[in-house]
Amino acid sequence: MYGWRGRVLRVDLARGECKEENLDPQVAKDYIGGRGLGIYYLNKEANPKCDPLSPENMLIMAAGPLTGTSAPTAARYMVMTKGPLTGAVTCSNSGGHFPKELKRANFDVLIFTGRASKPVYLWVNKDKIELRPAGHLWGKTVPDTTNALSSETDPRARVACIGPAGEKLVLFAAIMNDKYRAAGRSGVGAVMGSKNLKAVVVLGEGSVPLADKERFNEIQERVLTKFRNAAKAAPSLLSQHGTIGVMMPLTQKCGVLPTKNFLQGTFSGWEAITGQTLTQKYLQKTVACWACPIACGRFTRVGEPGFEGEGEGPEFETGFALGALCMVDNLAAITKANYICNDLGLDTMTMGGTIACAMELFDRGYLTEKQAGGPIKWGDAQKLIELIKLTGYREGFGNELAEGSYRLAERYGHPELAMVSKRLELPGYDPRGLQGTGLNYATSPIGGSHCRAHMAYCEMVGIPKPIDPHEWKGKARIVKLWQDVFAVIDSAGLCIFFTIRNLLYPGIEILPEGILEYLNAVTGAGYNMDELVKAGERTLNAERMFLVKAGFSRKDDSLPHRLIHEPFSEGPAKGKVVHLEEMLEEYYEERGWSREGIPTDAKLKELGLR
Amino acid sequence: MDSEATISELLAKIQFPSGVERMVLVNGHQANFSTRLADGDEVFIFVPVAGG
Repeated sequence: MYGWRGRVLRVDLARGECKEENLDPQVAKDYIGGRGLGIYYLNKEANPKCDPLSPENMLIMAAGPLTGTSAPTAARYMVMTKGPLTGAVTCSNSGGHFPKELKRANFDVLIFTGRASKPVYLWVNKDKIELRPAGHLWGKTVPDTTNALSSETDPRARVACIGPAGEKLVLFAAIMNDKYRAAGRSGVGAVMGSKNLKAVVVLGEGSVPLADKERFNEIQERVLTKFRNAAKAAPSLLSQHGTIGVMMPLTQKCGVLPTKNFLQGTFSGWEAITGQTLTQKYLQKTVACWACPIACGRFTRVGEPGFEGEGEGPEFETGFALGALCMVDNLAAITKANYICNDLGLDTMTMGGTIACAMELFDRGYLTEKQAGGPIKWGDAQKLIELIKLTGYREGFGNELAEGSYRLAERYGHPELAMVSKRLELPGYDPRGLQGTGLNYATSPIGGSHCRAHMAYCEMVGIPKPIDPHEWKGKARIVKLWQDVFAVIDSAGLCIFFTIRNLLYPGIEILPEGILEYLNAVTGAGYNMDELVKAGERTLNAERMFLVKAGFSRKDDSLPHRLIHEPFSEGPAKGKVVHLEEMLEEYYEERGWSREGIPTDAKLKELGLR
Repeated sequence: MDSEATISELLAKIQFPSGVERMVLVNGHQANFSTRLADGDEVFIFVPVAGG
C-alpha cells in the first residue's frame, strides 16, 4: 500500500504480547485513517457501555495516510477511546513529530487492550517491538519522562507519554507527545494511566511511500507557492502571534470571548493576555510541527518571580480558559499555568473551565472556604497555579477538581454552573453570538469541542462565505457539511489550520478538493469527491452509533442553561441566546437521523454501516 | 475620514494592499466594502492568510 503502511499493532497489555496484523485496504479506503479508522475499530471491538477506566476499554492511536508525508501540516494523529470525563467517544488530536515517526516505523494504528500488572512502556524500534518496565518512570513529569526515555532508547526516537495526572487518573489527563504537544481532551491520558502504560516510544526510518511522486510534487509546488505568495502580500497573523494572537482579539471584538465562566462575552484585561503581548514579552521562537509552513507554536520563557519557566504555549484555548474564563489578566501566570499543565499532563481547557466553575461556586457561596481549602476568588493568579498543581496530583481540593467541572458543580448542588456539553468543557467562543457554533458544540461526538467543525471561524471571519453569526435558520446544513469535512481532515492526518484556508473549495460547502488531490497522489486509491465526503459522513455516523450504544440521545445534545436562557446584557451579541432546539430539529433532518437523534436504518445502509 | 465614509474608502486611505483577502468588523459585526462608518466606530481589519 501507499500512504498507508498497511499494518496495525495490537498490544495486549494484560498478557504483555504484541501482535501485528494487516490493514484491510477496503477498510482503509472507506474510513481513510486516523479518526475514521479509530471509530472503525472501536465499533467493531469495544464495549460502548464499558467503564472507561477499566481494562475492558480500548485505547487506539491512529495516523492518517497523509501523516508523515511532506503535504503541508500532515503531522497529526488521533487518540480514540471511550473518554472517562465524558463517557463519549474521544477524538484527541495532536501534531508534533511523534505521529510522523509512527508512520516511519511502518504502522498506521496502535491498539492497546487490557491492563498491565505493572507500569510499562511500548518501544517500537523499526521492526523490533517490546514492552519494557516503566516502574522507574512512574511519578515523573512529562519532560523528565521524555528525557529519560530518549536516553534509554534512542535520542532520535519520539515519545508520547502521560505525566502524574494520567497516573492519578485525573479525568482530563492528556497524552503529551514531543514534550509540549497534547492529545488533550476527554481524559485520554487517564485511560493510558488506567492501563499502566506510561509511554509509547517510536523510531522508524525512511519516508512514507507515495503512489504518484510526480503528481504529489506538482500539487506541493502549486499549493505552497500560493501559500507563500499570500504570506508575502500580508504576513500571516497565525505565524506572527500564534492562535492566541488571532483569536483573542477576534473573540473580544465580536463579544464572544467567554469570560467569568461565561457570564460575560468580553474581558477588560484581554490586551494583557493576547498573542501580541506574548510575542513582545515572552516569545523566544516559533515552533512548527512536522511539514507545517505556518509554525503557530510558541516557545516562550517567563522571568517574573513566582512564574519563572520555559516551554511551549500558551495557545488561544489555553489563554482563554486559564485567563479570561477565570478573570486572570496576568500573562506570566497564565503561561506558567500552561507549563505546569504540560509538565503534569493536563488538558488546559478543562482545567481552566473547572477552576472557573469553582470560582463561580465560591463566589455564589455554594462552595465554602473550608470545603475548598481556602478562598477561590475571580482573577487570583497565585490560586490558579496552586490549584493546578493540586489537581495534577489529586491532592486536597485538587482531588475534586480532578473530576472536571460537571462532577464538581453537581457535587455542590449546581450542575447548571458547569459550562459543558456532554460533560466536556466548552472552548473559547461563546455560542450566544455564534449560533452554528452552539449547534456544533451540542452535536460534536466528543462533546463541547470547536475542532470537529470550526463554525466559530466561519461565523466570525465570514470565510469561506459571509454568514450571519446571529441567524440560526439554515445553520444545521452548514454544520453538517463542515462536520463531515472535518472528519475527512482528521482522518487524513492534516491540521485544520492550513487546510481550511488552502485545501478546501472556497464555497460554503467547503468540499475537500485539495485533500482529494493529495490523497489520490499519496495513496493511489482513486477516491472521487463523493466517496471522500461520504467517508467523512460515515465516520460521523459511526461515532454517533457508538454514542447511541453507550446510552446517549437527543437529551445529551445539550448546552448549559446559561447559554440558552441568559442573554448577554452588552456587546455585539447583546440580547442573544442559542436557539438550540430549533437548530437540532433541522440538524437531525439534515443528517437523516430520527427526532431522537438516532441514525435511521436507511442512513446506516447508505453509508455501509448496517 | 469624512463622516459616512465607506470601508472601501478607509482601506484606500490606509493604503491596504489590494488583492489581499481580508475581513472587516465594525463594532464587532461583519462589514463589507460599502458599509458606512460613523463617528466613534471601531474598525477591526483581519487578514486570514493561513487559517487564522
